Amino acid sequence: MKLILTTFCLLSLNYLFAQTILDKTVEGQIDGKTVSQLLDLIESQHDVRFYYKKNNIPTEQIGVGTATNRKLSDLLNTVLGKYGLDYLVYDEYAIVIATIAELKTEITPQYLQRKEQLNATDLSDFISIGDKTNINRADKVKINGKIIDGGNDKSVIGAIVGVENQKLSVSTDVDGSFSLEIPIGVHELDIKLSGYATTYQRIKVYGEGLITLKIYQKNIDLQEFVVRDAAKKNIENATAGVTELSVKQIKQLPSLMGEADVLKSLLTLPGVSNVGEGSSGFNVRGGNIDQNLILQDGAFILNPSHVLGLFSSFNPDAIKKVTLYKGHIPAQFGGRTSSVLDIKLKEGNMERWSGFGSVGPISAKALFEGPIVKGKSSLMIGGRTTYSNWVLNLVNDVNLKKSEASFYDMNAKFTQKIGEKGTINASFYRSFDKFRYSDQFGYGWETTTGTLSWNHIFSNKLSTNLSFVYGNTENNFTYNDLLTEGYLTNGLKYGKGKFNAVWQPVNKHTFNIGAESNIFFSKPETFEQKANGDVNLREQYDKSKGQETAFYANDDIEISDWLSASVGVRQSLYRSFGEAVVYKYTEGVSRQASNIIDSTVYGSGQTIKTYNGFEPRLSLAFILNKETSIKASYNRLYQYLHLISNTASSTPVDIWQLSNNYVSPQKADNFSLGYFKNFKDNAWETSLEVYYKTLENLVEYKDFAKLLRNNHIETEFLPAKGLAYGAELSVKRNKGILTGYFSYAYNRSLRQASGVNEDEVINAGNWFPSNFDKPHNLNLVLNWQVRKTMALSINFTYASGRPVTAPTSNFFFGNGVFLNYSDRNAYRIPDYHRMDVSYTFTRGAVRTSRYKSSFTLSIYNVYARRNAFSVFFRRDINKASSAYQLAILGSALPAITYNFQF
Amino acid sequence: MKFCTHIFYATIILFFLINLNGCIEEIPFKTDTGDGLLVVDGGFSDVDEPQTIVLQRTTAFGTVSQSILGASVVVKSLDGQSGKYSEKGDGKYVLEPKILRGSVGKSYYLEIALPNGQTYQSEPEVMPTRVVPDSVFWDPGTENIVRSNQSVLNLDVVNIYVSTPLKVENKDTYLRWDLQSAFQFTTLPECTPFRTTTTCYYSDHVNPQTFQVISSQETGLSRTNKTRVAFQTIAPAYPFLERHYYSLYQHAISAKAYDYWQKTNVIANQNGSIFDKAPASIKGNFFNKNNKNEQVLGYFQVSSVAIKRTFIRAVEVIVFYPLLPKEEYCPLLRRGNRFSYSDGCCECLDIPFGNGTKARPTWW
Repeated sequence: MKLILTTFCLLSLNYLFAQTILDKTVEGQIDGKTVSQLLDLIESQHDVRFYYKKNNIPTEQIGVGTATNRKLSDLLNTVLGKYGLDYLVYDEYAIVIATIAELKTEITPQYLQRKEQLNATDLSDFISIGDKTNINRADKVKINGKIIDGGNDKSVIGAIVGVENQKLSVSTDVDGSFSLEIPIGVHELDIKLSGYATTYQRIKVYGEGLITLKIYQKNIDLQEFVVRDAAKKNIENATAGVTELSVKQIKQLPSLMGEADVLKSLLTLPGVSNVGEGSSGFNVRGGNIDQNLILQDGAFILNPSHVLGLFSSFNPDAIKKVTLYKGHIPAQFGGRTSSVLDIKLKEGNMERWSGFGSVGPISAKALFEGPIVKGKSSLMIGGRTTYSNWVLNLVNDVNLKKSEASFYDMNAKFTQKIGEKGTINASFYRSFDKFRYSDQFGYGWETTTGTLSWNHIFSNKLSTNLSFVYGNTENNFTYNDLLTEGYLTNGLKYGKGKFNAVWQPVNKHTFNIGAESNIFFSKPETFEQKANGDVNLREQYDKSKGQETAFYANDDIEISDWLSASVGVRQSLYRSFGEAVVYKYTEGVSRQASNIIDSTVYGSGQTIKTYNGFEPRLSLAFILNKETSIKASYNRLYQYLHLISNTASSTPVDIWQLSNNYVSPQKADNFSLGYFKNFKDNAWETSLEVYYKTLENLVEYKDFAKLLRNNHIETEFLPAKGLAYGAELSVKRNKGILTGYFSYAYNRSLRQASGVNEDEVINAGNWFPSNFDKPHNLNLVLNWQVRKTMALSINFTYASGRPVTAPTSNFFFGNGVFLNYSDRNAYRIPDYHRMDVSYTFTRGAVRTSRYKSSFTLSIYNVYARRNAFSVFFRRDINKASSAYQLAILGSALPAITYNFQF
Repeated sequence: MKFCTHIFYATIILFFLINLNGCIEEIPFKTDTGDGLLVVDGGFSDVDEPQTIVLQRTTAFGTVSQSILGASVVVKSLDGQSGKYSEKGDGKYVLEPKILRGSVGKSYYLEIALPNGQTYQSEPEVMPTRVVPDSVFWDPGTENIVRSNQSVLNLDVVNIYVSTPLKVENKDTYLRWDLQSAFQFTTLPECTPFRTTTTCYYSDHVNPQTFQVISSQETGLSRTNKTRVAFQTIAPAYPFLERHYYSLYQHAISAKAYDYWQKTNVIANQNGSIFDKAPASIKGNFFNKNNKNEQVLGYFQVSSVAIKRTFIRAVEVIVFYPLLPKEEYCPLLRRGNRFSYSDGCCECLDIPFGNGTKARPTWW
């Protein structure tokens, strides 16, 4: 049945493209209808939309009889011809109606293809600036403007205002204001901002003057899935391997239990994967999860997951923009060796209060934003919570009824304008999880961050940002058994200060210059144990502390029409400091507690070890033509903070370890090369990227390493080398009622541990696959705008199975059967594949409507594939040893979610 | 802290949150065969009982092991004492205590010479000081057994506990508990015209798939008051129809041995949890004297042993479990033209519980 449904959908889409709109027939009586009513009738029967100027369309009744079984082309020719009108088909589903003269001179298909007609303002409406009776004689005049959100009359910050054919663009400041110097004459402005429909406006400039333009957030408009200027960026942007995701994109993808998920959306991108459902974090180009720098308004998010990894801990409604850097990482970012996930939260509406929310089967969320002092200050506050415990109560099992799996998170952001050019933002984030199985054991983990930032625009050429961040994560694990009950805690606390200046001395250079300093305190691991109700054991394991400081400069340069570059340097300085006891081990033998020969006590704040790293960053874009470019990049990156985990999936109580005497900083050298080609005026984007990355000083682990409650944790580590390489192919369709993308990635991720001593060697010192080595990854995402208010999304994903260590033989101890295992990661679990579908029905799609709502019906894992998360081997009662697979999902998971905003 | 076990249950919660179907299933999984490695099972202690070493080779995953015959097995002490094991067939080699019995504080190692000319040796280990348990006792209970298909069996069991001292001050006490179950079974008087009966004695290890180890360093305890060592199901009830003994062998072992058995437990109890530690081949303390790179499995454990016993009588089991009269377990069966009792009821060595003996244990 599922196969039939899928096939039907795919065949329907093919049919859609194969048959032109004009071949379709129109049904029904049209006597007594006006032209406008006729067009409405046609729109109601077919996936077609008409565009015309109202004053071109006569209001009289047509009176041409029945339209039954008449071809659309015949009908239009007959009706429109009477009034001197003609039409042209644009983009397979849109029909533009205009006078014959207009079509010949002005609205040519070529002209239309240069416009985003569906989102653009009326093409024929000019705005005049200056006094037309007194035209300024200067070559250029200054015009001042303001961009506001048409939905809420709020100033739009950061919108790019470009002037066609002038190679000139500026961004709006905190007031949404901009100024341009442009020649007298006719121009076309384009206003672009992620999350908004690109807007075009023709202007006639007679002299200096003011202009106010409205842009609209992309809602249900046809072009919403991918912002068209992103396609152009794909070619021209010098930063290789960067992807922006809009909130719309995130929400549009089918999701688990109807909960839109930032991290799960990333998994549809080439080169991004994870170890399976229910695992925390994500892996970029075969890197560990701790090699991703996750920033939310500048704050480090160290545990981005809820419910042990089933959901991510980011509220999509609070997010303005998500950017993933997986190739070239600009110098203003550092401290991780794989990628940067930069999440920007939106600021509250300065003009009026509005809200967003959704209700799903296991969770609900709400977010409100509005002015505190109109036009001066605003507040955005939102939260999510789960009520999943009712599911557990349905289960007929005493232990599960006593179990608990709950979470909440909340975001708050206060924005205050300081004068004309300054803004202060204060944001707060808290995430909390509690997970308990009966009265036997439980986990808890929570994250709190606070960010205070001050933006100031000194001029069109210089703006600065100063920010301070405080972050705190706390984790705990409790257990009860017949003998004892125990409580283990750990965590990490940090402070961050960063200054960044954006300087545009001339149009072709954009400098980011700044410095940041981060101080980390890995909390002591504490363990308390009770036996018979009395505390009989209380332990504390001190963990490392460190400070990372960096200075950087990055220049985005437009060197010429065919060459642009992003060039940067970052100098990082690191020190680990006390209070700490550092043990000295016998040289030349395996590092073990029994080999300690001395120890040194360091006082509070006393420097123990220093490192520094020079990090050059370079990315070049060779623009061969408007639709083709080649990009190459080289990046060196250092990482001083490491997540200590020897399980396939991170646990909530994994320790964050700072570099010290025995843990050197990770160093990565990352090379990438990409060919980017767009087709049909950027309607199709294609790219092929290859990369090669070497890593040093990775933390690997001895077999059966004991990582918790260990005062000599360095005895469990092995320094390892890493190697990652691969190729990523991507094809996107950005335009039309059917959009989406296909990607295939071949990613390899290898490790080598070849120490001097016997227990420091893994797999005889040979290269072996890392836990995240999944060579083949394929993703297909299709979005079909069925109607103006209805959208269907389909997502298919396939990936190679991840590596495992498997038994190769068995033997007997007494009467028990035991297994002897292979080299580390010598085998793979079965391949992974899954298809998801979602269907969204929206109400209130009209731009002027204040209240909008939608229902999303999603089915995750449509054909109920039982994908193996892991494979393990054991002997069941009265059976020989066998292999078993654990699948986190075992069936299709439908969900319905109600979303609203006002 | 049974971390992996806890995470296994965590995974079960995730199942119920997102999927009410069971998601663990058997799959075909082919690996290369790493057979042919030498495996040494056994140790040496100060107990006044025969010491056993079993030699075998690893075999392909899912097949029976291959015994090694014709080997020479000798235990030696660093002060020059030695004792040669006698071959008893099926890869088993036995050392009688009268030949050599271990002494606390001495170092011992094992030498093995195989018929193919290869010789192996274990690293010497010092025999630790004996730790005597205070008591061994039992109580009735129930146990939920989760099968591989996620079905749960709710079984009546006997729990066996130990109370024992640990040396928390020195943090150097490592214990391994080996529990042996022994019971007697007497034939029905109706089987013979003179109503004579025969009694057989059966013994076996309890929970052979898990090695019960404990250390004062891990628990921080100076004493365990009621630590469950193992449990044994009541059904089938043959073993509980007459007196049933539990013998706890409390081995004082080395830190290395403790580490080895802990790792063995990790790989023996993999349950596919998302947080399972990666398994690996466990290195023991044997090596090939001619080829140090050869992988040899097993650990020669040198231990001092203290034994404590407890027993259960049928009359005690009846209190919490409805045992039927022995006749109910021995129905008359029609065999051709004759009626006779089921196997074992007339010949006690035939009951289906492994190797029995008519020789009464000296401690019975």
